[in-house]
Parts: sequence; C-alpha cells; structure tokens
Amino acid sequence: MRLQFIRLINFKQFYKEQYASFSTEDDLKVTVFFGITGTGKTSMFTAINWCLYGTGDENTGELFNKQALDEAIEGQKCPVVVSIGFRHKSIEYIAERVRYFEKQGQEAVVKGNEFTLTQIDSLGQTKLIGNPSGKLDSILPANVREYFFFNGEKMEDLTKPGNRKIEDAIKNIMRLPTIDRAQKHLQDITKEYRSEIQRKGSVKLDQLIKLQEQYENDIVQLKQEIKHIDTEVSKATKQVSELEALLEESREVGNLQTQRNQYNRQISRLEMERDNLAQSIFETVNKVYPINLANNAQKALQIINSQVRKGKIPSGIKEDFLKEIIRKGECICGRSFSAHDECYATLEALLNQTQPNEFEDSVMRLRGDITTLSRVTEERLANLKEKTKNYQIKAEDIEDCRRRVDDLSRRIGDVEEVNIENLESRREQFARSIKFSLQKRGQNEQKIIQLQNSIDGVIKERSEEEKKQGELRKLSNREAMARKSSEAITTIKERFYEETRKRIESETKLVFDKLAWKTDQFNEIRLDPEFHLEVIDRWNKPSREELSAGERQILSLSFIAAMARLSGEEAPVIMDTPFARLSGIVLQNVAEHLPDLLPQLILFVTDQEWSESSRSGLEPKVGAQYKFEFSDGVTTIKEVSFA
Amino acid sequence: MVSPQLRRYLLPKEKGLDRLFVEDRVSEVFRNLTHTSTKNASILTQPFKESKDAFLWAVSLGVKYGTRKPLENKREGLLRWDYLSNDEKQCLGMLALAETGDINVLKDEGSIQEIAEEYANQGIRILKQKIDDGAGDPLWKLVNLIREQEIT
Amino acid sequence: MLNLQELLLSYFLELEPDIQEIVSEVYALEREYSDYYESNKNLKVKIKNVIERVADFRQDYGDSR
Repeated sequence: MRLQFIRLINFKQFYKEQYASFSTEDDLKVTVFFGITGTGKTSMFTAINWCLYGTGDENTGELFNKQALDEAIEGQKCPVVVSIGFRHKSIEYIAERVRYFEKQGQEAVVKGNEFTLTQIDSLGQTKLIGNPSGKLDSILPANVREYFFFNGEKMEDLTKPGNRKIEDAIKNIMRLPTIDRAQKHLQDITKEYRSEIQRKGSVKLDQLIKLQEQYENDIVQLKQEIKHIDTEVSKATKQVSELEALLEESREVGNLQTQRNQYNRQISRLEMERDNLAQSIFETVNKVYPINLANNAQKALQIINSQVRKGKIPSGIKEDFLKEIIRKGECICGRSFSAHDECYATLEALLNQTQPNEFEDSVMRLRGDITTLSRVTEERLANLKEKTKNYQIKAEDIEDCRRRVDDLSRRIGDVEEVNIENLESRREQFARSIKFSLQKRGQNEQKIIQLQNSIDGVIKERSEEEKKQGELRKLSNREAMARKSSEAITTIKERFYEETRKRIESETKLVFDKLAWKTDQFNEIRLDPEFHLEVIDRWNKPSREELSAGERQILSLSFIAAMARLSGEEAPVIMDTPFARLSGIVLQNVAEHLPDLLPQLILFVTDQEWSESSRSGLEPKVGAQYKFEFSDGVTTIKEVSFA
Repeated sequence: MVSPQLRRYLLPKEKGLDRLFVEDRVSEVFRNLTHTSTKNASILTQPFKESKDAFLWAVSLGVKYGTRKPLENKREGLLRWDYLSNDEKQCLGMLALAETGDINVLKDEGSIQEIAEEYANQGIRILKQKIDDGAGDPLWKLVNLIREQEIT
Repeated sequence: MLNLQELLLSYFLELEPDIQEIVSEVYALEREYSDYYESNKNLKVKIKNVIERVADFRQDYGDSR
C-alpha cells in the first residue's frame, strides 16, 4: 500500500477542503508535515486512521469543524469527509469516509455514516468495491496497521520491559494465529475421524488406536522435556561463563583461563565453519545427480544432431510458411490451387512432416542444455571434492583444539589454591551437567524417532484391520489425510516460527546498528523462541531494563523497520512526533538512515523536531513538505517548496 | 486473498500428469531421506533437500545400474511435475529421448514421466541398500558414492 | 530474498501433492475466515469437505495415469 493523497473537508480544525499529496517516488520516500503544537498534526494522523479504519476519533472531541458549524444553517445536513487515495499491487483506490452532521442549536448531531472504496483502472474507469472494510482489511489488516501507523510518544512503549507488545506485534503482523488455528483444526478433525473409526470398528482396531494415541502423547511429553532441558542448559551455560570470568581475573590461573577461553572460542568458530561446509556439501550433493547420466546425454545429443543433419530439425520448410501458402491458395510460382488439387495434397503432406516451431525450438534448447549440463556437473564435482577435503581438515583442527582445552583444564585443576579449586570444580560441575543434559536431550530425540516408527507400525496394522471392514476404508483414508496434513502444518509452523524469529532478530540488529550511535555498547539483539526481545550489552548482559527512553525509541524504530522490510506487507509507515525523545547526533543518524529502510515514510513533526539535526539527515529524501498554519481558529495545509 | 501462486497448484488431476508417482511401499524411503519431509531432520541423515532431489537421485542410480522397474500395486504421488525446474524436466526429457530414440517422445509428458518413475523405482531400492550398508551417515555415504563414480 | 509471507508459501510448495492441496486450502480458508467473517461456524465443515474430496479422489483414482 502506498498513500497518494489525502483530502479533508471540515475535519476537525481543517476548514472547508484541504488537500495534500504524499510522495511516492523510490528515492524521495518521505513526506513531512510540520507545525507548532496544536496546529493539527495529530488531527491529520487521526484523519488517516479514521478514514481507513473508522477509528481514532474516540477521545478527540468534535469531528465537525467549528467554523463550518457556525456558518451552517439550523437543520442543514453537512458532511465531514476524509478521502485517501492509495495504490496497492498496481491498482489505484480511493477510500472515502463521510459522517453527516445536522446543526441543532450550537451542537452538531450525527446523522449518518458512509464508507466507500473505489477501484480505478488504467483507463480511469471506476468500480465500487462491494465489501470495502473487508477489502481494506485484506490489504492492510487493522491489527497490523497499528504497528505501522503510530504515535512516536507511545512508540517506546513497544519495547518497554514487562509487556508483550513485541510478541503480539510479530504474531499479528505475521498472522501466526492463522497457522495455529489451521494446526488445531486439523488435529481436531483427525481426532474426530479416529473416534468414528473406533466407534464403528472392531475391538482390535480400538486397541490399536488407543496405542497410537498413547505414543503420540508420549512424544508430546518428550518434547516438553526437551524444552525444559534447553532452559536448564541455558542457565548452566550462563553459570559457566560467570565462573570462567572469575577464573580469568585470578592471579594464579588468569593466563591459563584466558588461553582456555581463546581455544573454546576457536572451537565454536571452527564448528560453525565446519557446519557451513557440511551445509554447502549438502547443497552440492543434491545438484550432481546428472553424474550418472553422461552416456544418456551423449546418446540424446547424437539423436538430435542426426535429426538436424537430416534436415528435420530445424525443418527444411517452416510450418508457418506452408500454412500461409495453403491459406492463400497460391503457390510461390504464382499459380492458384484449390483443396482438390494435387498441389494441395503435396503441401499438406509436407506440413505433416514438419514439426511445430515451438517444438523445434524446445529441441534446440535441449541440445544446448545437454552441453551445458556436462560442464556444470564437472565443475560441481570439483567443488565437492575441495569442500570435502576442507571439511576433514576442519574436523581435525577441532580435535586438536579440544585436546589443548583438556590439557589447560587439567593444569588449572592442578593448582593448589582453595579459591581456584572451588571455582574450577564448580565450573566443571556445571559443564558436566550441560553434557549430561545434552545427552538426555539426544536420548529424548532418539526416543521420539522410535515412537514415530512405532506409530508408523501401528498405522500399518490399523490399515490392514480397517481393510477387513469395507466401510471403514473411506474413513481410514480420510483420517490418514487429515493426520498427514496436521503433521505437515505442524512441521511448517515450527520451521516458520524459527525462521521468523531468526530473520527478525538479525534484521532488527542490522537496523539498530544503523540508527543507534552507541553501537559498541550493545553487542547483540536476541529474540527468543517466545519472541521476547532482549538487548545484550558488551559485557554479555541483558540490558533492556537499563535502556533510556530515547534508546528504547530507537529499538522500537528498529523493530518496526525490520518488520516493514520482512513481513511483505508493504505498508507505509506513518509517525506522529517520532523524534520527541531524540536529539543531536542521534536524531541526525535516525533521520539519515530511517527513510532507506522503509517503503514510504510520512512524518508529522513539531517545529522543534523539524530542526537542523533532523532536516539535514532527512531533507535529501523528502519528496513533499507541508506546513500547518493556524489562524482564526482554523488550520490550513500549505505546501512548502524547498529552498 | 489467496495468492495466484497457491491457487495454481490446485490443478485438476488430469490423468495423473500433474505428478510423479512412486510405489506406495517405497514412498516412506523417499520421505525418510528427505530433509523437508522429516521432523528433526539433519543434513547428515536426510541428505536430500526435497522429495524431488531424492527422486532425481533415484532416477540417476536406476540409470547407473541399468534397470527399469515398472510400478506395481498401489502408487502414490510424490511430487508435482510442475515443481521440477525447467532444467530438471529437460534432464528427464533427455533420458526419455536416449531411452526411446524417438524425438517425438519429447512431446509426450506421460512417457517421460513413466520412464523416470521406472528408473526411480529401481534406483530407490539401490539407494536404500547403499545407505543401510555399514556405519556412517547417509550424506557421507552419498558423497562416497559420487567419488566412486568419479574414479570409474 | 523472499519476504516472510513468500517464505511461508514456499514451504507449502514443498509438500507432496495431495497434502499440499489440503494444507493450502485449509490455510486459505483460515485466512478468509479471520479476515472476513466474525464466527468460525461452518469452517470445520469446509475443511472436512476439502479433506474428503482429496482423500476420496485419491482412493478412487490414485493409481491411474
């Protein structure tokens, strides 16, 4: 969605008709509205929300312009109108909301409401959309809109510790509840089919189904245990880090601990490189299946070339050419002929021998592709050989580092100093507990695989049993489909949640690094599986609680920009007083980088916010600028040209 | 509301030409070796990214060992024909052309699919054998298989 | 790079044909009901219709080409 223009008629302090167009160019994405407090910035922001979603007018006094009310005649029906033109997926629309008022004494009484959405095609023809609210909701859902149209003063609330706003934002924007509901419904339906089979089936079938459900419950339990283990491992890892930090500070073993840390970091790095290599090998292996098709490729090439040598491909006489002669009924020598003539029969026979042009083209393309295929496969094989060799080298390096770590641990353990012994022994204890927890985790994962195999076995048995009862076959098939669909969507959901988490985490960090000025203060931004956002400082400690209001505002902006880029919603970002908590170099930084991160940016700023710092950063990207001028109780929107 | 991308895949099942079949009794083998079809998948134990990769490798091995095995009994649609890339479809076309010696086979999607399915039907059995044989993760066994082929 | 909505769709495309058909339709129905309708009445019936249509077709015609 890109906003194109807004038109207001007697909306709050905007008297009569006022108009502004929004900048939509790719390199001039910003539209700025500025004015001193009370001149109408928030009213315009409200107008946008009110027009599109019918909201935002609850606590903001009368809607109908007071001057217009004063001039109206008693009993006269007057409209308040806000129209917004926008473009979405190459189609233009105009949304218009009208509220009718009737003057009764000094009051404006509401007499009706109307909301229309009109689609305009490239020829300028208009079409009224049947369900305008529904259509608009499908373009930009209301519960998504609140994250892209927002009030800057409340923006920092988004990342205030103790609330779930980030989690809710992600769930709403990515429509995660839809997947959750699909999963639940498919699970419920699977259970319903199963119950029906149990009711209609034999005793043995009933027992098999009960067994299957027991296995499924066991899997759920094991997965919960795994989650618990992960939390424990995370806590223990933290403890190990803290103890290692203390050891590093000690006089006796500080040096040894530092070395141990270095080797551990090296192991992590090497493991990551090794895993990346494994991933790369995996990708390449999937592409080299043509390795066994070389002989077939040769043979196919020979057949095509033989056809070419015989003149059959490309055909000696093009199909189109023959068709044209037949259509005209006139030979190339100029002689006419009819459908009964021998000439016609000869031409038809020739036509039957030629191949359709499209087919010829595809065969020639295949010839080219076969040649390329061999070359590409050879290159990939060479690549695979190199990567496999490097993988082995990495594995050996990791082993080497592990031996050195063991040696250092032994030397630290040998130091006869009570405090050190205590720290090291506690560290070892936690490290051991991590090992055992991971082992248990692995065992649980194995058990889950075994249970899944058992379930497959039971399903096979069930299928045999269900076949015996003819009428159950259909039901059994339906249950199988429902179950597989339920499993498929569960897998998709897990992958999608994890991928969403990873991408939002890394994109938010990327944007934060661009906008914040103390980037060396903050090491990482983490989003956990529950979508809790945490900022990790350079001492590896969570620091969201300690962020200032301004830093929280930048974090919120980073998150919003990340969501705008990743979600695929293509929504304009509209901000009312976005820079209230920012100043100086921070403001300049934000102003300079923010527009590049968003598809369209509309700002309502006070005079104070539209200062030297923000202007210098933003102005090169501003496509339209408007000033709210307030006089005699009404606001006029005045376009400002650039100096 | 629902993207054209999604709707396109809800095609009528014209004579089964929209999909590649495998025998019901080996469909599990394909799935167990495929990353996207397996829960808690690892690239070491599920060396094929998607079911089409497992299928193409099965075709490849079927061709290497020279036999086609017609599908018997119940069959199951493993993947949509349109899900293959153009290059992959070209590869199967090339195979059908070499197999039949008839250029017109390239117009006959049904025949191309049938030939590929029969090679895959044999190939998947060979693949399972190779993977089950001895210790080690399937990914490395596949890599060794490829290295062997390079040397011959 | 795919945005997250496109990524979700790509996961659907990887599924085997019959399951893909069911899961895609179910997701589309859930979207439709959440965007347009106030209640979930009839949604489960529609989902069951999709499952039954695919399962029954496969049972009757699954082997043929």
